[in-house]
Amino acid sequence: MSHLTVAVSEAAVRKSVEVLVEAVKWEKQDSKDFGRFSAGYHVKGHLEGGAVDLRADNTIEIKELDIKWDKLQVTLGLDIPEICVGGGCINLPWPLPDICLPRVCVFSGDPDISISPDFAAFVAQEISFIGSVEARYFDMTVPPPPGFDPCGFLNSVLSGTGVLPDPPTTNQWQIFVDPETVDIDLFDFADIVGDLIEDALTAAVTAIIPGGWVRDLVLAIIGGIADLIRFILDIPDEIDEWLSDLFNVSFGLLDFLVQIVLELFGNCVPIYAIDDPFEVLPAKVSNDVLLSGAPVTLVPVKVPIADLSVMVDDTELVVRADVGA
Amino acid sequence: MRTDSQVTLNRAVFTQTAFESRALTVLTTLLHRFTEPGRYRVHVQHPAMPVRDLTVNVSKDAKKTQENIDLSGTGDRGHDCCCGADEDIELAVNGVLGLYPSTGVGGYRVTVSSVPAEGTEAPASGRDERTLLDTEKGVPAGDYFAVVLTRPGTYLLTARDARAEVKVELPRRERLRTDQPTLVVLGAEGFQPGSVSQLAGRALVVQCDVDALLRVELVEPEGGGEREDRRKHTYRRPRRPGPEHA
Repeated sequence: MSHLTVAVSEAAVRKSVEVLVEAVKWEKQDSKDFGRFSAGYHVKGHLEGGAVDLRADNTIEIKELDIKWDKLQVTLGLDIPEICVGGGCINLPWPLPDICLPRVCVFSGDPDISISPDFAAFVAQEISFIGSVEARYFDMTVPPPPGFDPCGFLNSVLSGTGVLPDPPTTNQWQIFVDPETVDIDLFDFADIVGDLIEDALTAAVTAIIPGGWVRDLVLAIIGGIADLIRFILDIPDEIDEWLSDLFNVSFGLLDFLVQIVLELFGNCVPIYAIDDPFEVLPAKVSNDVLLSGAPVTLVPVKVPIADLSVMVDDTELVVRADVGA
Repeated sequence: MRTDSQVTLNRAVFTQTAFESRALTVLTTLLHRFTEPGRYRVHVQHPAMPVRDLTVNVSKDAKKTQENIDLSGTGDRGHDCCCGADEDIELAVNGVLGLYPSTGVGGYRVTVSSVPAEGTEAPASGRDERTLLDTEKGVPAGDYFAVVLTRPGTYLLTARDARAEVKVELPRRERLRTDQPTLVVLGAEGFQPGSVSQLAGRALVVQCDVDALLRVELVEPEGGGEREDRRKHTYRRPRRPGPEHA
C-alpha cells in the first residue's frame, strides 16, 4: 500500500499536453546538390490542436496534432545544359578521313536559374503518437557524461522560449509520455503546387533566352522548356509528386518532425515533475513560535519521495509513491 | 517568389548575318587539310588581339586525323581536344586542322606556312611559295569552309562567279538536331547543288575543289526582318485639364 496516491483526470492531462504543445516551434534550413540541379529548403513551423486519449493499456495517445507551417520555402536551382549549334561530321570517301565540325554554344559559361517559392499555404499535415507513461528519476549526483546533451537536437531546432525547461536543481521524479509509435502525414503537394513550380521555372528559363526567332531556335534545340525542366530535375511524371518525394525522402523532413516528437516527449520535457524531497511546507518567518513574539525563520518541511510509479487507465493517470527514504 | 539567373549570351551567334572566308568570325570554320608530311606554322591575326602562332607536325606515324582550334580562346583548343595549349599539334597525313572562333567580334586572318626542316635552307623562291593558306587571299582547293546558319531566312552563297541559294528554316514540331551538316561542292562549274534547304543551327559546309573566296549573306530574313521582341515602356502624358462642360 503506497503512502501517497494522486489521480489526474484526462482533462487535466489534456491541459498539460496543450501547454507543452503550444510552445513547440521549430526552424530548419538546408540544401543539397543533386548534380544537374540543387534543392534547398527553409522551413518554420509549429504544432496546434490535437486530442489526448488515456488508454487502458497504460499508454496515452496524443492524436491529430496539426503541423502548421509558417514557412515552407523550397529553392530549386537548375544548371542549364550547354545549348549549342553546329557540330556533326561529313563523311568523305576513303582514304580521306571524315571531317567533324566544332559546336558553338549559345551561352558563355553555365547558365543557372533558381526559384524560391513558399508553399506553406498548400500543405496540411497531422502527427499522432502513442506513448507509454514512464516515471524516471533524475539524480543530481549522477550528472550526464561530459559532452552528452540529451536535448542538443531540440536546442538546435526549436525556436522561441520556454519549451525546454532548465536542468533541475534538485533530484526529481519525472513523468514522460515516451512515444512508441508515431504516425505522420506524408508531404503531399497538390497539383497546383506542381503547376506553380513549372510556371516559375518556365518563366525563369524563358527570361534568359532572347525573344523572337532566337527563342524559337533555342526551344527547338532543347525540345521545349517543359521537357528540359523534367530532364534536368529527372522527373518521370508529375512535378508535385516529385516535390513530395523531395520533402519526404531527400530532405528527410519527416524524420526531422518525428525526431522532434520523440526527443521532446520521450527525453527532454516531462509532462509532470516532482522534486525529491518534496516540499510540503515552505520556509517562512513566524511570530507565533516564541512567547516574546520575536520572529523565527522556519525551515521548509520536505519529505523524501520513493518508489514513485505511474499508471494510466482509460479515465485517469494515477501516481503512487512512498514517503520516506 | 524569388528568381535568380546568371548568364552571358553569346550574342554573336545570333547577330552575325554575313560571313566571309577572308575573315573568320563566330559561326564560321575553316578546315585545312595537310596532304604532305612536314612542319607547319599557323599564324593567327585579329585586329584587337595579339598575334598567335601554332605549330603543326604532320607525319605518317601520327594517329590523329583532326584537330579543331578555337581562335578566340587563349590558346585553348576546341572541345574535342585534350592537349596542352603550348604543345605542337600532331596530325596524320591528310589530317585536318579546323579553325574557328567560338565567341567575340571581328574576323581572324589565318595563314598556314610550311617550315623548313632543321638543317635545310629556306626555299630561295621566297616566303609566298611556302604559304599553303592565306584566308585573305582565299580558300585553297582541297579545303572546306563551314558556316552555321542560325537565323531563318534566305541566304546567298557566292564564290568566284558562282552563286547558290540557301534556305534556312526552323523545324515545325520535332526537336532540332544541329549536328547534321549539309555539304555543297564548289567546282569550276559552280556550286553543286545549286540550291540548298536546311534547318537553322546546322552547318553549311563548302568543299572547295577550286581556290575561292567565299561569302554567305542573309538576303531575306524569314518574317521580313522583324525586330526582335523588345520590352517597351509607353509614356502617356497626363491629360491636361480642359474646360469643364456643364
